[in-house]
Amino acid sequence: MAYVIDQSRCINCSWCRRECPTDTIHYFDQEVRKHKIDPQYCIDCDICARVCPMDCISHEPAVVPDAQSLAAGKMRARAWARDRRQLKLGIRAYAESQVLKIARNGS
Amino acid sequence: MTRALKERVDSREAKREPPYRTTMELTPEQQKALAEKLGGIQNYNPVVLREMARKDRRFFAPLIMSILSAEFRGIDFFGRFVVDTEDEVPWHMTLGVARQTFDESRHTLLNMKLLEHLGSSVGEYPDIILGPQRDDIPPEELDPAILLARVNVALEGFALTTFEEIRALAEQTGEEMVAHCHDYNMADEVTHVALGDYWLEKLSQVQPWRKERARAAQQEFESNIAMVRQMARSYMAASTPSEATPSGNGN
Ligand code: SF4
Ligand code: SF4
Ligand SMILES: [Fe+2]
Ligand SMILES: [Fe+2]
Repeated sequence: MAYVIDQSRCINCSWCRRECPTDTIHYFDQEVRKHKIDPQYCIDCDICARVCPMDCISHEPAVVPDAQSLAAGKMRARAWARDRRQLKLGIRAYAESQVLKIARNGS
Repeated sequence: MTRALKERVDSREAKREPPYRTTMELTPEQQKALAEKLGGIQNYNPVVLREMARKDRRFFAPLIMSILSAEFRGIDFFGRFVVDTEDEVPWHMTLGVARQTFDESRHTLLNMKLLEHLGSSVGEYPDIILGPQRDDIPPEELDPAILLARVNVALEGFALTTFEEIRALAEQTGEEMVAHCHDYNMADEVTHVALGDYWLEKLSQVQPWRKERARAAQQEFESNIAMVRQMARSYMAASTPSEATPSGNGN
């Protein structure tokens, strides 16, 4: 099981690639200038499909990564999730503290 | 025989001093006023402003100004590209990029009106410059394909993600006009990215070495983003008061 991109509809917005927790969506090194998922490290998290503005990423049960790659993919994803969540919450907390500070200063 | 575009363009130097008025160019008083408005001039960047706008709609205005800055740069970049590369690229590419220049000027007008809708106007906030300026690019990188590669991923591709994120935020917070304009804007950027992709392929077919160099330029941009993220992480860890915990679930 893995996700696949319908390249005929992909607009290369790069969103899926930046969100993929296992870094398994490729663009720059592709022969065809379109985003492509390397199924070996795809952990079926569905994140790419949810952010794609073109709805052109779908689940493909027939594509199956080998067990070792999948385990490596999961490890990458765990590290990514920890890191990304920390950063997201960090930026949000920082922004909120700034808005509160400005409100306190009465401007 | 028609004269080349270069010759038809007025030969006087079109130079603004400084070309962009960034926070660095402001007087100390102006910097102070900006810092008071935004809680510090370091907050004048789209990533932080987006989260501030989520909390308080007043911050949509500086956020839109940061986008407007990029649109101005788009006009600059593509306009210059048309004139500078006319002899090196097929004429229909010149035509496509000229059309893109026109699109960028429409985006500029769109965002200027949007800024007014949000109670601000051009001049209230300074320019934001992301990525290298044209004058910083070494001469050997001034190849049309490499220039295009940089801008295609740094300006146009990045715009796709940014506009979609701002549209989603505007929708969540009831800023219908912002959501509408960014949806509209995004449609043009889709065409721009596609045009860039198409011409990168074509130009690389004529000169295969361009493909590798273009890829390297794009990857350089990606690693810069990663670096900015890293810097943001350490900066925020150092300056967020510990009592400030964000509301919501972090999505
Ligand atoms: S489903 Fe998850 S792991 Fe697979 S390509 Fe999409 S984002 Fe990456
Ligand atoms: S999110 Fe969708 S449209 Fe954007 S690059 Fe990925 S597959 Fe293509
Ligand atoms: Fe634009
Ligand atoms: Fe554009």
